[in-house]
Amino acid sequence: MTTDEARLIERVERLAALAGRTWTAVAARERALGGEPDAAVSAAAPIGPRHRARELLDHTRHYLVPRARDLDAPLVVVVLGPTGSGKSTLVNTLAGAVVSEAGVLRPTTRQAVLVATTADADALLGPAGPLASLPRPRIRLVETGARPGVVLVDAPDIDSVEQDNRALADAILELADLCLFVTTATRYADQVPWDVLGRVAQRGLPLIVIVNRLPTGDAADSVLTDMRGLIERAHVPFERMVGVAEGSIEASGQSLVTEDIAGLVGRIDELAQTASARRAVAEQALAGAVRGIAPLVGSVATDLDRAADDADGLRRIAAEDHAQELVLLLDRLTQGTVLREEVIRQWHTFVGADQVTRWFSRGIGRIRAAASTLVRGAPAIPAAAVQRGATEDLTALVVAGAADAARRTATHWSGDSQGARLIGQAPDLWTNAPDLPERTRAAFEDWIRTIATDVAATGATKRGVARGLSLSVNAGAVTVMLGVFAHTGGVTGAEVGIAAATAFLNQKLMNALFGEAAVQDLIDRARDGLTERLRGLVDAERARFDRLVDDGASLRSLAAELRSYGTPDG
Amino acid sequence: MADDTWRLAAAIDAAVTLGIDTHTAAATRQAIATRSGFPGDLYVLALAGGTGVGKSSLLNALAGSEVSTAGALRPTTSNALAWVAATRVTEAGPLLEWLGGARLAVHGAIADDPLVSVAIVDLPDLDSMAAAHAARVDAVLPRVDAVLWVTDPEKYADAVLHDRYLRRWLPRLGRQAVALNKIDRLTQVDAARLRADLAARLDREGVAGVPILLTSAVTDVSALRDWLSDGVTAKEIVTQRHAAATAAAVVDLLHLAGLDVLTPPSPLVLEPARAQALAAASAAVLRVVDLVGLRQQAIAATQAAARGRGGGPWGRLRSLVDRGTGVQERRTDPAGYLSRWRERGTLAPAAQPIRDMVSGSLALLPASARPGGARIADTAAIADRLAEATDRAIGGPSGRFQAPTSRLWPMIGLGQLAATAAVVAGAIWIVALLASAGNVPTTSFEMPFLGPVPMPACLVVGGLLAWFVLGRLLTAHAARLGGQWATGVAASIDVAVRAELARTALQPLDAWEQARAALWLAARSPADPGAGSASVGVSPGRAATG
Repeated sequence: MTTDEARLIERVERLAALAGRTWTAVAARERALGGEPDAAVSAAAPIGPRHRARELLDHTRHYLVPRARDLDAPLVVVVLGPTGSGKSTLVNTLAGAVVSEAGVLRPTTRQAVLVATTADADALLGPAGPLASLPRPRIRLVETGARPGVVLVDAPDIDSVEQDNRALADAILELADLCLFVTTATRYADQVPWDVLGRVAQRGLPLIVIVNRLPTGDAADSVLTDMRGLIERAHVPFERMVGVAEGSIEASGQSLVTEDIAGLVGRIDELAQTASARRAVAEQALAGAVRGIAPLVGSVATDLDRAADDADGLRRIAAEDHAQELVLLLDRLTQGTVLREEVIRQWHTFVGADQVTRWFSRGIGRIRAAASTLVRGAPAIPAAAVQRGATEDLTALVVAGAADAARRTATHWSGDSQGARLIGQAPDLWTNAPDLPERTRAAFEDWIRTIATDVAATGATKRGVARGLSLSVNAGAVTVMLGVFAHTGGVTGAEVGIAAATAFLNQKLMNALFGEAAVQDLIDRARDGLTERLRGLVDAERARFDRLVDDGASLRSLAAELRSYGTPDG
Repeated sequence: MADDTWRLAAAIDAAVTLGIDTHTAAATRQAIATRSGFPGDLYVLALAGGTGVGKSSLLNALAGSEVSTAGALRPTTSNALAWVAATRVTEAGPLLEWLGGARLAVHGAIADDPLVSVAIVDLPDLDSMAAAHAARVDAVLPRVDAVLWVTDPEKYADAVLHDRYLRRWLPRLGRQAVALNKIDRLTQVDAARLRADLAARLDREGVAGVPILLTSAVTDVSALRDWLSDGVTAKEIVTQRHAAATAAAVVDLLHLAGLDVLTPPSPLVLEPARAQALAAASAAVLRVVDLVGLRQQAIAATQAAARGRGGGPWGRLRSLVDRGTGVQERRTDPAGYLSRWRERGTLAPAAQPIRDMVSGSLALLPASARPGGARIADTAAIADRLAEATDRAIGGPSGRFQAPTSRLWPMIGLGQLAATAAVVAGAIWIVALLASAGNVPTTSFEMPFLGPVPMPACLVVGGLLAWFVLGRLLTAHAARLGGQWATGVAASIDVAVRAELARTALQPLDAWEQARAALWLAARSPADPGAGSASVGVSPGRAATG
């Protein structure tokens, strides 16, 4: 083995591994979209990313690697073409016996017929052989008429309504060394067969074209000339073109009149008889295949990049919709309309109580408050109730925001073909996560705890106790919490409305407890803490969408790796 | 046959309410409307098929001369060709123009020859490398009245023909047939087998009974000739086509909405869930409206009224001060308090149960119908609707906010006045006594005593006591009266809010459910009358609860 050969083997093996990873990524993507990666599609459907990724996998794993390792393995000659073009008839003629039944009902051949000697069949179908991956129930082995060293495969059609046929034919095309492409005078301008010929050309597969059912007379020549022109303009190189006249069929109806294709039979015989001729074809096919790597790999890489762009686009939609909702949410928090008056009133009863107001009242109010305190005693602090109410209100607000963000994202995704398929798989994404209320409550309680710690650190409760008010750390925290939501914004307490009045009194209480300088810091820290927690909650909501789409970065790096193979020294 | 343009119109309206894409249906509707403006006694039959199956040869065989160029090279026909009776050229012109134009070839059929009422259009192929050909076919098919699908023994099972054309178009066409051409290449037995195979395929693709004509442009087009002259009039053909297109368009919409023709739509949200969501939303709205605060205002208002009428001098003075300082407006005005409910919190929490109810049921819909369903789960829209309902509920007659009054109060007022008089009299008396102590002999006057207490002190103390007691009495009585009143007012608000919400809060959902029912009714085959309108009615939410 030369070093060149060794390098080639090493290279195609790496490519096969990469193709495997690509297929895994593409298959995962298809599953995320609710599809089945191996599901057959209509032969009339345009060739898409999934098809190309599969091509790359089949081609590298089942052709490039085995062929690079062994140029002398049996030659795989595939007979390919549209339904009813006469593939079976041709195979029967080449085999010299009826090995594949021809008939009037389309499609005729649903199985691939493998005409091979036992030894060749074993070599190809064995675990490391190129045909190992083909579905065995769909392969019929025939030894009659087999030539050693040449395996003739009658592939199913490429264009009938039987979708499985196309998939099997495509798989066989990827692992062949020589293609006998059969078409007819009726068919030769059909689009679907040309798609397949395009792939034959791209992978550099040696090609012989047979145009069947030619009309009689001069028309036959003009059809062949037209076909020749088309195939040349399409840059599909071919070894030879054979024309077969309409009705040139043996009486049995199962094989062609041999004279018409004597040249073709001779060529196959030559391959069977001379190892060097086989090797030449194998080398030619391998060289073509190596040349064909770059364009296929390039288009698969482009597909991956597009998929990454799609994924990024969808993520961006989710990110924008959620960011917008977060802004709205934070905006609402600073507007002072977060809490229901029902909640505020409870706090108002407390901060408006004489026991509390006497600290910051002036003049007669102070005396009255002091006198009243002696009579009535300390007021109960509704810290727990207010905290509960505030938690409830804030949770409702966050959940409403998250639900709207989810609904907007889902609606926007529905307008995108990829997004619509993804969101179709995940009906629960039309609203907030079911456990969001619970998590919001937990985050909010955690926030209050953090404020309480902060409050304790400022020593405010000591001052509260010193003033005869058994102010727990929690009550101090509630004061600061309300300071965040119900900030005064410059009101003076004389305003109509309990919310403003409470905010005013609460501010006074805070100033008395913590000192004016500390109050602003406390509130700022608390507000930052709340913002951060809300951001965390909204981010988690957004992440539910992100999880559905591919990781754009990993797709791009896969694409880059693939592209590095496209370069000659890759 | 009844004109059923209403079905498509109704279905499109319903689909718009459901938020389903109606572009295709609207295009169909437009095509039908436009076609109706052209002659109805002339129909267009298109020959559609793959390249090389013999569409042009078939037309030539029918015409008996070469009207359309048939050739060995593929693809042959790239422009449509229309074959019409010479007498109908003028009428056919605009119709063919609407179809995208076609070269004209005329024939001499007259009078009752069936060929007089048909324009046969030889279309380009639908499967060759010339992409423009298929595009032309795709553009024309929605507008033609009848189609002859032409295929041959080689191409009859092609994916392009079946997957791209027959599956989609068979249900949308009325008059149509498949010509299995080049039958001369087969034995009779093979031809029969092939016809059976094709019939089975068409059957599986959803339309049974499409005629299959065995033809050969070389030897025999009688099957085609017979089909063309089987007595079906152009008018019937056009009507059939429109009925089929309408039915297919409506059924498409129905499927997008996640419904099927056989099962009447069951409500997306069942009654228990609706009731639960409504109750939760009402409770949340009432929390914002704040009945507790309303109660306090009502009691305070009653007490203020009582002070005004039976509060004695101090009470009257306080009323005056309260009115002057705005305290009265702030604390004793239940109607004003109610009307300011928006200041007391947002309705986002109240919208939540309704939103969750709708979002939760979206999963029951197919993906295509979910964006439409989600439109009624918008928090802000729900909250707005709730707010409007709340305004309507609390904006009832203001008479019910007339604070109660009592005849007891003026009497207490009189008592207060008497007590005041007693205090004043006693005070003057005492002052006079103190002033004259030592100066004026009081022997002429015997100081009266009530028990051991001298009368002036008695008057002052008794008056003050009476003040206190009467004041307490007034307050307590007003509180009781006000409490009863407040309870009534709060209860009436509670009832009104709940009733208004039940009436209007779920209207979008109701409209949505009704649209589903309407769509289904439109899609039901007109041939099965009376099976639905009663059971699928106005109130889907209440129709079924199981």
